[in-house]
Amino acid sequence: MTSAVAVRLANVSRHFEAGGGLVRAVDGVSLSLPRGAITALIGPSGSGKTTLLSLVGGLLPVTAGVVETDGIDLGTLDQAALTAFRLHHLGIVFQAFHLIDALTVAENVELPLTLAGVRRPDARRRALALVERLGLAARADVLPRVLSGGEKQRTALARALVLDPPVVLADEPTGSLDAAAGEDVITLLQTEATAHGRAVIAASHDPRLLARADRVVAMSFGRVV
Amino acid sequence: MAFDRVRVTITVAGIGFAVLLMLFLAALYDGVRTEANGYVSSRPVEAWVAQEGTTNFIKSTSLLSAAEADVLAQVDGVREVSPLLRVITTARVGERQVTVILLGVDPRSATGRPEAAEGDMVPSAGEIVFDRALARQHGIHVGDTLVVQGRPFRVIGLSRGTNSVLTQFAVVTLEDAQLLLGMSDMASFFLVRGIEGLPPEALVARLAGQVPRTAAFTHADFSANNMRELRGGLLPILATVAVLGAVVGLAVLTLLLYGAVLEQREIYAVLKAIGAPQQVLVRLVLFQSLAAAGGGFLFGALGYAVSAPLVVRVVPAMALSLSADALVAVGLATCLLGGLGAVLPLRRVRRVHPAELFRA
Repeated sequence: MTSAVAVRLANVSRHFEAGGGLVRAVDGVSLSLPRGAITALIGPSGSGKTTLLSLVGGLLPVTAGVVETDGIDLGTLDQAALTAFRLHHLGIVFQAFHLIDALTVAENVELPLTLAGVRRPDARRRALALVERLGLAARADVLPRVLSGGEKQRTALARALVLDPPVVLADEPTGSLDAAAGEDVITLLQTEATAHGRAVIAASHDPRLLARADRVVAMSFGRVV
Repeated sequence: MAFDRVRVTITVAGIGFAVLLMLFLAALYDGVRTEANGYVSSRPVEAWVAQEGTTNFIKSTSLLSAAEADVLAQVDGVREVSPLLRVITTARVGERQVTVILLGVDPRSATGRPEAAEGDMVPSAGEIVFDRALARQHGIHVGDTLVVQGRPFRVIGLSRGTNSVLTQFAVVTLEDAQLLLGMSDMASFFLVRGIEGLPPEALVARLAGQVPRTAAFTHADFSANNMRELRGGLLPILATVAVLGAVVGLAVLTLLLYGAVLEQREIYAVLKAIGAPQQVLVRLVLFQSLAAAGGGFLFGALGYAVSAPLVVRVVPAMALSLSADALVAVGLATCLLGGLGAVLPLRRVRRVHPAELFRA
């Protein structure tokens, strides 16, 4: 039976040396983040939001504590297993989209399927279905450079969702978008959380996203406040 | 994967020029090897007799009495003995002086006769057969007259396999060569044919000691001695330059590929972030590297096919002979470059961290 908790952090710290001193980017954080909900991480720059996302995604190792994402203790995984974990359990959306410019919208969305070993025709079909669901059907065969910011972020969201991950991490997902496009992306994230039972964890300064989040976690100096 | 067309072009061209250099050097290597030893190795004989202490045709002096051919001809198992006199001299072509190795041969015997490219290969008194590369270089044609040590010689034919690269052979009668040398009874080598069925080693054993202060060799041994001299001289230099060409190609490939990886680090970070296994990234970099190497090889091979005939036209004495083996060897070396060229870029890719995408 799937736990209602998608992400569990137990006394998690991430410290590193910089400028001759110890930086406590995340310091003794304990949290349980539910499925089927948007959790917004807020706080000033340098408060540890992005580092916390990286820890939840296994992109950075913890200095201390335990991170369990989708029931998997990330501390027990080696690099290859962490890579496979990200592919199958996680979707990541970036503020700057980070689409691959040489690939079309559909090909960008197809990429995780290809990495997962899904055969080409099936991967294409699944990618196109998702592209259509996110309102990008007419743009499936164009390159990212001709897309608007909102379309780029929807493409990035499609890429993040195409392998149906239980957890979606979003770093300032509306940070590069105008108001209408930002609203659109927030709605999509909310739909993914409520209709598909995903845990959406978003670091954001956008008050509209905070207003529609199911839970808001405020951070300051690496701690939850 | 994103490719910058200008970068790809520069990479392929850079590797292509390195491949072109390697192909030219390989062709020159083969050309020198076959041409410089071509005359000796193509003699239709079983044995060579030289002055004692002389082991090869290229880098030694051998002086024999031509009359000793009659002594050797009496040896059991000998079918024919033909003297050959080698004289390094200068021929005047118009206003120009050309250094040639003049070979005085017995015109009645086929053993000293060069391979024909054009015209007649059997000189009479006052006639000369000229190497075709040298002839092309100096605009000499069959029927022309040139002067060797004040004596006119009419060109009756042009030969192939007589270009030793550093200098070329011209063939006259033995008597003419002796006259030019000023020594009427002189020969450098005896070319010996044995009777049917007699092994060359047995022939050499019978020839040994028949004439004082001479040494006899099987044709295979004498030709191998020449090759050994070549390998010890020009060929290692060519091989060294070919290796340098490969090193330049490797440096170009590594530098440009490394730059491409730096430029595309965001893509590698994205691939890592979304769960691309390490082997996918390795394959991606290797593919780029091998594709660049493959493109470079095609560029270089095409460049060679186009430019080699032009180079030979401009420098006729340049002996170019690209064998299939050499082409395959350069191809394999280019593949190896492709693999090696990916090593440093792969180390750089390994250090790309997906978490950096959150900051960009």
